[in-house]
Amino acid sequence: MRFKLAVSAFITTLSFMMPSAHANDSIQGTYTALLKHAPKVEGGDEFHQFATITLRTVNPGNGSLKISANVRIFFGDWNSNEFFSYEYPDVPLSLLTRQISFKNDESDVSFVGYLKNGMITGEWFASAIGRVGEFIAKKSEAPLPDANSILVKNITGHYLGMFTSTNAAANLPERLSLSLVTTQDPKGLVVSGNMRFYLGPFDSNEYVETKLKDVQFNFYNRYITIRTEEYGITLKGSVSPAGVVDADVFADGFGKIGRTTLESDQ
Amino acid sequence: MKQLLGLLIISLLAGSACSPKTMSQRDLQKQKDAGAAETKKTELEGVAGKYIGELRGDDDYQQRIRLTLEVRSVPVQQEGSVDPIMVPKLLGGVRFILGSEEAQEFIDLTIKEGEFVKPTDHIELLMSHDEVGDLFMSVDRKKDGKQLTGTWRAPKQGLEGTIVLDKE
Repeated sequence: MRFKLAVSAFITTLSFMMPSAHANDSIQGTYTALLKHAPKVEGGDEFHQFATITLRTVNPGNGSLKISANVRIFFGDWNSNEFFSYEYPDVPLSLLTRQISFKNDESDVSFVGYLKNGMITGEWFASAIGRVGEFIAKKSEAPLPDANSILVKNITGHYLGMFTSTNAAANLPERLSLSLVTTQDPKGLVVSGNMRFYLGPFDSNEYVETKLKDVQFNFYNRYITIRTEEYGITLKGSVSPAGVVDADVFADGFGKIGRTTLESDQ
Repeated sequence: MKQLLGLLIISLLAGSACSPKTMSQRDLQKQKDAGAAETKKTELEGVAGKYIGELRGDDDYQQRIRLTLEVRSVPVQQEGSVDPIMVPKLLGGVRFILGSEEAQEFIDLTIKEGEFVKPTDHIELLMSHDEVGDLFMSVDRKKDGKQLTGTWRAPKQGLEGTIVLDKE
């Protein structure tokens, strides 16, 4: 009797520990995704970023299965607070091909792929640049990036670099540092920060600091425009996925006064 | 004389009451139709049941389905006949199991037309769906009726493939 009870208890415990067949087969649930960026040039660097895709299913009973989804795309690592969330209220899944597509007018990112064997594979697109690359999403485990692939960095960070003047009339210090911070706002990701102009070396206290009045950054085409609160300085350029800011520098009343390249030191 | 006439009438009435009743043409046809329907029904019942398996197609397409074949008597109006006749039909549905059945992740399609050809052990099925359009399935019974194998095609989408189903 005791033995029977022990076996029964063991089986019950085991059944709680083991994932049910339902959980394995079900298409609803959260998939961890690896979004690849196709190299811009032949042999160029490969980049990747992480995402989660959550599928929800409802059977209205009229010969259709309603699927909706939420996609969260991270910039930086999995625990980064720099992410975009996209809602897709209607995700069609073809009966005879198992092709699945995530797109709507309100999202600037879309995915087209195939849902097979608990995995979604396909291509993803951003309205700012068109086709970005391939993606793979799995329920069971996080897909691993290729060994030579570089993670798309988050924009939050501290950047250091040199200013190269192209206008003799302007007299901006040679050394610049830039601090950027992102915050999740109901309207989306907001980037703020400050800029320092070093009159001496970077580790000196001889600098002039100004807050950033406005930072416009497109996370997909990576274009950035930074405007300082004081001194009328504007940086306009791009941030590489590896975290290098390359920008033209403008000053009010002078126009373009030079260029700067700032690298993340974190 | 009156007594004789009375006896004659009684004997006539009695004779007509005991004679075998002759069936009308209509009743005969009904009986014939019922017999044919019964034979057809017996044939179809040999095919009825639940089958589980896969649709396969291009690009590693594999879709788990459950085919349910049922025999239902459907009233059919014949030309020149007043009475509709009950004709047994092969109907039912196909369930596309997209994920977990427990989580209701399936789509049911109803069979619009089903035909079983006994001499060749062949089944033809037609379904339709908003997205897919008409879906035709053409299968042969194998392994003493325990397996159905054949092809499917969806002309609207230009897709086709194979089917393998085992009786549950």
